[in-house]
Order: sequence, then C-alpha cells, then structure tokens
Amino acid sequence: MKYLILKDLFLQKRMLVLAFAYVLLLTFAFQSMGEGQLVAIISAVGYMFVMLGGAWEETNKSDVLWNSMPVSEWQIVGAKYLAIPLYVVFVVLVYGVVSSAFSLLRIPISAAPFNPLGIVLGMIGVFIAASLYYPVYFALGYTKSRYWHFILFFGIIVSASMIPALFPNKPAWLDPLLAQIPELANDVAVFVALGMFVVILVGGSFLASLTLYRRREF
Amino acid sequence: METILQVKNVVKEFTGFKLNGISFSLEPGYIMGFIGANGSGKTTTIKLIMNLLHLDMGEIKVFGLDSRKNEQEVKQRIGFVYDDNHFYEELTIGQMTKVLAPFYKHWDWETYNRYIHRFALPATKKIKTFSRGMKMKYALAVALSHKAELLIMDEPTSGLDPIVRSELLDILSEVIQDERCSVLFSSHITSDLDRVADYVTLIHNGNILFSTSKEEVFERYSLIKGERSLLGSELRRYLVGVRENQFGFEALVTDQEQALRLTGGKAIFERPTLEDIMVYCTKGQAV
Repeated sequence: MKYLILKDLFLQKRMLVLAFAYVLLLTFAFQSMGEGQLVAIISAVGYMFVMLGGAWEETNKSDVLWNSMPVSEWQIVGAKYLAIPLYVVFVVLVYGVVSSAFSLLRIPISAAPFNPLGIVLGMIGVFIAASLYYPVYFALGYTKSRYWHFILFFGIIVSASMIPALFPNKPAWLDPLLAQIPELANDVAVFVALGMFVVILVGGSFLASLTLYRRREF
Repeated sequence: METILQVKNVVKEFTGFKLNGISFSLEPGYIMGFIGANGSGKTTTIKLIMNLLHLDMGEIKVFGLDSRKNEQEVKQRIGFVYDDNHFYEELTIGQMTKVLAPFYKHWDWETYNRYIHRFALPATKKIKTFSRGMKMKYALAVALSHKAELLIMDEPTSGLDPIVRSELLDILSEVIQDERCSVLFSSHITSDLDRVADYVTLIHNGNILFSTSKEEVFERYSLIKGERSLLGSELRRYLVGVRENQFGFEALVTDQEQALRLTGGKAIFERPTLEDIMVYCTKGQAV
C-alpha cells in the first residue's frame, strides 16, 4: 500500500504551486478567524489535495490499471485514507512558508501562529470531509461525484468562516449537555470523545467506500 | 499441461448489448487471435477475464483457478497491454515502474531494463511526452518483466505504425518460444494475426462464431470468385457470405470440392485472409 501512497506523493508534489495560491487566498480571507484560521486553512487545502488525488486517478483512468494488477481493492481504497496525513504535512509546510513570508516582508495580513492543536484539528477537519467525500467518489468516480465535492468544499469554507460569527462564545445550549455528562467538561475527555467520533466516522467511511468500490465496473 | 484460459458459458448484459454465453479456451504456449468488428464484444470479454466487469453468468478459469476467487494469484501471473494508456501521464516511467514493480512477486529488474533499453525508452521523460508506440512499448515492457504466463492484449496494435507493429509481433513470437507463455491478442487488424496467431476466435454481436486453430480455419474456408451466372441456388448453400457486382461475385465457401463440382471448374479459388473470413462471416449476408 505504501507504493500507492508514494504514487500520490509523486503526483501531488506538482500541485504545491496551486496549494501556495490557495493558502495565500485563504489566509487573507480567514484573517478575522483568529486561531481558527489555521484549522480552516488546513481543512480546506488538505481537502483540496484529497479531491485532486481523485482527479488524477480519473484523468489517467488508473482504476483499470490497478484493478488489472495484483492489487486488492482494500489497498486501493485504504491508500487514499492513509495519504491524508501526508496531505496535511504538505499544507502545514506551505502555510509555514507563506506565514513566514508575510512576517519577513511585513505584509499586513495576519496569519495565525502554528500550534499543535490547530494542526490536529485541521487534520480532523480533512478526515471528516474526506470521510463524507470518499464513499461517493469510490462509488461513482471523480467526474460523477464532483457536485458532491463542490458542496463539501464550499461547505467547509463557508462554515469555517461563519463559526466565529455564529459562536462568539461557547454556545449556551452546550452547557446543559455538558452538565449531563460531567466527564466531557474535561478537555482531555473532549479530545478522546472527538477522537473516537473521528475513528468511527473514518472507519465507517472506509468500509462504505470499500463496499461501493467492489461493486464498480471499469 | 493445464489449460491456461477457459471461458465457459459467459453471459454479460448491458443496455443494447449482450455476451450470449460465450465459451473458448487457450492452451499453454500459443497465441490466440481474438477477432471481431468494433463493438462485437472483444473488450467486454477481456474485461471479464481481468475482473474489471462482473459476470452475470458463467465461469472463467485462468491457470485452472477461478479468476474471481483467486484474483490476486491469477493476476500475479498475467501481463496486460490495453488499447488505451492507463499509466499516469504526469510521471516518468522511472517513477511509474518504482510504484508498479513491488506489487509483482516475480518482478525482474534485469528483464525490465533490457526491454527499456531495447525499446530506447527514456526513463526520465514524462509518459505524456511519449508517442502512442512508446506508451505501448512501455506497457509491453511492464507486462513482460514479471514472468507472466498469460499475456492479455486488447487492440495493442491499433493506431501504431507498421514498424512498431512489426516489432511488437516479433517480440510476441520470441515470448511464446519458451512454450510457457500464452497470448490472447484481441484485434480487428487481422493481418497482424495472420502472421502470429496459432488459434483464432471470432466474435460477432456477443456470440463466438468459431474458435479453432488457424490451420483449421484456412482448411475450412476458401475464397471463390467467378461470373454471376455461376451463382445457382445449390452453390449458394455452400457460401458463407457473398459479394456481387455487375461483373461477377466473390464469396467465402465452406466446401471447396462441392463448389468446384457445381461451378464446373469455371470459378477461381483462393486462400482467404483472416480479414476475408471475418468480413464474410459477420457482414450478415450469409446465404
């Protein structure tokens, strides 16, 4: 499976220029988000890599290649999910270069500083978006799933940009919920719960993608 | 030795097309020409063999194994060359091979490098800069570098110039000399198969019209030419297809002795090409 991921890296490294353009644009657009800026940028640009990975496969009709070779469907599907952390590394590197350039050149665009929490939350954002996208992609292919992709992509951008306006403070409806489950008041417990949610979502998405991909014909 | 490929009563239906329970088999060490017009079912059959399409009914055995249940094992032993390029155009062949090779247990870098050198393929150029012939040669190099026992080729020569086609056919002849490897070669360019095929399978509208050795095909059919006045109703019974014009007729005949008797020696008999046989057997003017 690592060679399928290697193939993705060979292809995606060509998209770094596009990633720079997206990061520049989104850094400017998400200035008012504060610390959420980093999360939103990693989520949006990371998801762009997910989508472009699908586009490369469709352009080259590579499903015929892989399914003619001794490569199992779970490897083909699994490699796409496992490539996500590498996409995030790409975005983090690009963001690092862009934010450093702003700082060095004294460009008056505020870029949130790196923080591990922001990177982890950004990666979770990409995993959630990819988990919603991949089952449709593996069932229909890139071209037929592109409308779903656009809904997700702009959904991420719009919802990310609206969160600060919608929830300037912790939403009031959350307090009674937290009171019911005191363990959730603890930050660590929140992270564990979030982690479990993401694992279940990604696992369910992977199984759905695999089932749907096995039904496809090429 | 076991049958390399056995296709048995295979049915696959799409809107407007159906493979009607086709059957044929291929023995080790032979090249089978799989001929038929465009849309006759060649690619569908190959995709079913490669498990790119799901079977509606029937059975496909490769190396004596069920091609569905033993998919990974079977595909380790198959090399394929398709009409379209399915390699990543943005990668160099060096990068592409680095990704592909580890999936094959018996990948042989020495053989691969020998073919890349023989075909003069530049390892550092992107595949998108390659001509159609170069892409086909690369696909062939990959197909021949993991000790495949069955080569499946779907229209590999279409769109290629005669020199590259000839080179490909020479290599195929070399490959089967060890009598271990077999080739299923689908094409509508029948002149290529006239040259290299040992067996011929003709498919038309999703039905196998015949699947037999090339010698038997040429023993069975003759091309007959003569004046129209020779075309009596009795003679027509022996004709597979007939083409008439104001000067005379040309037809494919299954029983040359009877045709010779019925024309009183006034007709000319010739050895048909595979193209003649394909055209007359499929054009729907059988009498």
